[in-house]
Amino acid sequence: MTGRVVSLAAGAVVGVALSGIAVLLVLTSDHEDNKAATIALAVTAGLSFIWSGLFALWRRPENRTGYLLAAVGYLWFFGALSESDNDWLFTIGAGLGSLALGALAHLLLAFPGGRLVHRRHLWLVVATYALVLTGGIGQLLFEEFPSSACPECRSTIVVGSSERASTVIRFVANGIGLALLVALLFIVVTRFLRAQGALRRALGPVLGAGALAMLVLALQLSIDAYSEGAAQPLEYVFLATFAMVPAAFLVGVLRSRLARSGVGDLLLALARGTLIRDAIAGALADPTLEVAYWLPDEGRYVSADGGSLPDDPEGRAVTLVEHDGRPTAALVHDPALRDERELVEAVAAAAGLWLDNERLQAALRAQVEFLETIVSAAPSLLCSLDPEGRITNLNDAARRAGGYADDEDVRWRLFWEAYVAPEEREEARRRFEEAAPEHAEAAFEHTFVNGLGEEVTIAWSTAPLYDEQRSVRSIVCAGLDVTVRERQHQQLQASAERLRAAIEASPVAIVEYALDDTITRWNPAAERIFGWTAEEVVGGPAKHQPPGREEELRELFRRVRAGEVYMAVESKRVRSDGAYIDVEISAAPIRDSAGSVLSHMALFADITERKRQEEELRASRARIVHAADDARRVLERNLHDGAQQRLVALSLSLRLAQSKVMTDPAEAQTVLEGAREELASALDELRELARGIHPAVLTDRGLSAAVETLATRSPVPVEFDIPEDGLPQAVEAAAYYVIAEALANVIKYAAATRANVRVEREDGRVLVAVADDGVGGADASRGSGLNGLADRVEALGGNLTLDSPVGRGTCVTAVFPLQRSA
Amino acid sequence: MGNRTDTTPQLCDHERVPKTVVIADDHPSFRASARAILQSEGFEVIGEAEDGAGAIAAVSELAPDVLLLDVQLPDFDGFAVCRQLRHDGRTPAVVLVSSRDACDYGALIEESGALGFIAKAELSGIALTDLLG
Repeated sequence: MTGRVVSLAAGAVVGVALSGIAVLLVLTSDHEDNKAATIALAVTAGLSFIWSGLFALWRRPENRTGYLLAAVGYLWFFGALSESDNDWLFTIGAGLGSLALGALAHLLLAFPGGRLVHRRHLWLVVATYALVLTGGIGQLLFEEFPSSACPECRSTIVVGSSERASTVIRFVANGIGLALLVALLFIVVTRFLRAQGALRRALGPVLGAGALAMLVLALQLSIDAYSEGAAQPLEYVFLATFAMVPAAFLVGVLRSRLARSGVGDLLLALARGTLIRDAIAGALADPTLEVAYWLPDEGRYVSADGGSLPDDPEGRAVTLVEHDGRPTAALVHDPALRDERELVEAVAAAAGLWLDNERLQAALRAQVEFLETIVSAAPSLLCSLDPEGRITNLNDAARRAGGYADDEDVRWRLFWEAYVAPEEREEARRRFEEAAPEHAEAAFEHTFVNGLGEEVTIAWSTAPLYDEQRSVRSIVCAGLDVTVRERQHQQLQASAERLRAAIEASPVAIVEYALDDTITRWNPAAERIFGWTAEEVVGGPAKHQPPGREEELRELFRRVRAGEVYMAVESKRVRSDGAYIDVEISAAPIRDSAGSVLSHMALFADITERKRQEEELRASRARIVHAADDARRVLERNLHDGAQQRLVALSLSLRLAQSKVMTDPAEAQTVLEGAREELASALDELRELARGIHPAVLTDRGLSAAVETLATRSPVPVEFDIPEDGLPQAVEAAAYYVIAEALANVIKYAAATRANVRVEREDGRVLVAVADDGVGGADASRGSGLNGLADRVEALGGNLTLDSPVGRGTCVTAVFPLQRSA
Repeated sequence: MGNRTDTTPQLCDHERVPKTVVIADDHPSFRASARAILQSEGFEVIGEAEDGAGAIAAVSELAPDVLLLDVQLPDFDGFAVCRQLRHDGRTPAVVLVSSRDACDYGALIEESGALGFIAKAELSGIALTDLLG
């Protein structure tokens, strides 16, 4: 015998002993009127709790329900002491007799696991224990004779007899007790209603009997609150229902054991062809049961629909099933079935063979599902053809690429009619027929317009599938939609071509440098500007870098390779003929897709001509300023030396005449005569000066008349041909000064016999030419007269040229655009 | 009206009213007009010069009381003549004349050591007498 069995036997003996003592107390009691009923119900109830508890501990030593059942029984016998005629024993019995009710509440809340799962249940149990203990003892403290059934039974722990205090305690204890009972009933009923399957079956009898007992007790307390003793008959009802609790427990156990006979039914059901899951669920009376099958290759359990079994399914229990020593399946069932392990295992063993079969089927289904998922979800186009080339099956990608709404739209059509452009179908058909009957692996590409009108390019590869006789059963075609790739390739090509064209046609020199400073690109503009051909420079270092500027080049390279873009940096470069040119350099790095600089491209704009023009413009502006200053200086000098002196003399003469007019009128007359001549000379000089500033005849009568005046005053004969229609004032003035200066030069230097002035208007331009038959050899750079005129002409957008070959006369030509100066 | 400087330099300062004058100017018409007007008002024009060198030579030779000196002369200007005379220790009262206004010359007149300045159009015996004090 094991120690456990000895302990259980000892517990049984103690129970028998306690019941014997209880019977003795009842029989010897002088205040128990209903001795037979009390012994039959109360003593029997206590003993049945103890034995039920011991039986439960024997069957399920790990389950604490047995302890609780036994505890209710042992505590119950405290109540028997209140039957004693001895005041001390009566007091103990009256004070502790209700502890069994606390234990009963504990049992009901902890059933069937034997442990309190929720914290609120724990509080409820603690409150119940506290109430039954304090309620009983409190009454004994304040009531000397607390029992209505035994007026002589005296409390030995009374501290002062107070009916009022006793009544208050009873009322309060009853009230709290009633509240606790209601809470307990609520929890028990709720649990039962929520439970399913095996758990409900296990809970039903015990909770039903316990709830009934609690209900009776609640009624008893309610009635007792109004009339002490009126509830006495309910005492026996309570005892009867109380005694039903262990009986109900035993009924539950019996039901489980009876259920084991379901194994036979299971085998019969399986033989009849009932689904394995349904058969097991019926045998275990658990409609929620699920079966998961073991996949040895993957080392996991899968459910019948192919899903994986979680490691620890929430709120469920798992029983693993083996067949021939290897895992077969897992039963996922109600946790309550843990208490019926033998039943579950018996059912599992009985169903093992079927489960193994089901397992294999589940494994096959999982593989098929896996393959179907892959085929369906694959981005590649997949379809199978029969040996005649008809499409027998296809995946979503193939359907979509063909622009078909439904598989049936394309199934049984010839492959080349569905996925090949009409003009290529014949060739595709011929190729297919030539490949028969082997249909060796092949690859080809087709572009066609699909059912949605989109142009699609598919790269196909095919492979044969054989039957048992090694004949080609079908041809599998796998395709890749390369439309986007093809389009991107074309766009890339077009983009590269545009870039190449832009670089080739650019008027700016474009040079690309590799990271080792060698030149990798040299466009036609670079050839033209620097003079080296691409063949001469590509692959080598820069040749157009002038000596002494190495540091500048290094700095520019460093900046651009650090990612900087720089614009319009002015510098100098050298041509292949050694000439220096002014350039404006812009450069930017070229990066790879990761952002690293691969090379850089530099653009060189030849700004030599622009710089020359800028310099010429600066010089021209300076000459204009100087010329204007000089003109003002000459004007001031002329005024000072000429007219001003004459006017000073005139002033002095008038003053002298004034002083003489009275004393010497004749002298005054002479002086005044001199003064008049002085005034006439002053006027002549002023007139001459004004003509030099701007000839009045030009303003009043135009260019032709002004040139006529010049010709009249010229010692060299001048012929002229000038149209009478007016020119813009600025052009007319500039033309006049060109003619006047040219004629002045003819007179001074040309030693000519005649000169010719011609003004023509043609194609929106005015041409002014002054020619002579003199010695020639004039040089514009020697005198500022023609330079100043050139500035004046250029300020109007025109230009002045001098043609003066030695010995063949001189021709000064000015051309003015009319639109700009108009 | 003639311009008279506030601080009359020692070189050209005279206690008595001069009577003899040399006119130095490159314009013959002005020399003739000046001679006529000054002589009619009591001065004695004892010589003329048409440039700076001539003016210095005339002073050296004729020792006039007053040198009527044009500022703008063909060789060097009246200020240079004034400096040369001071350098040579000659002591005529130098009166600068010009057809321009005195303000055109700024501080040059004052710094030259000349007795004063008369605009040509304002020249008269009275103006000269006033300047000479």
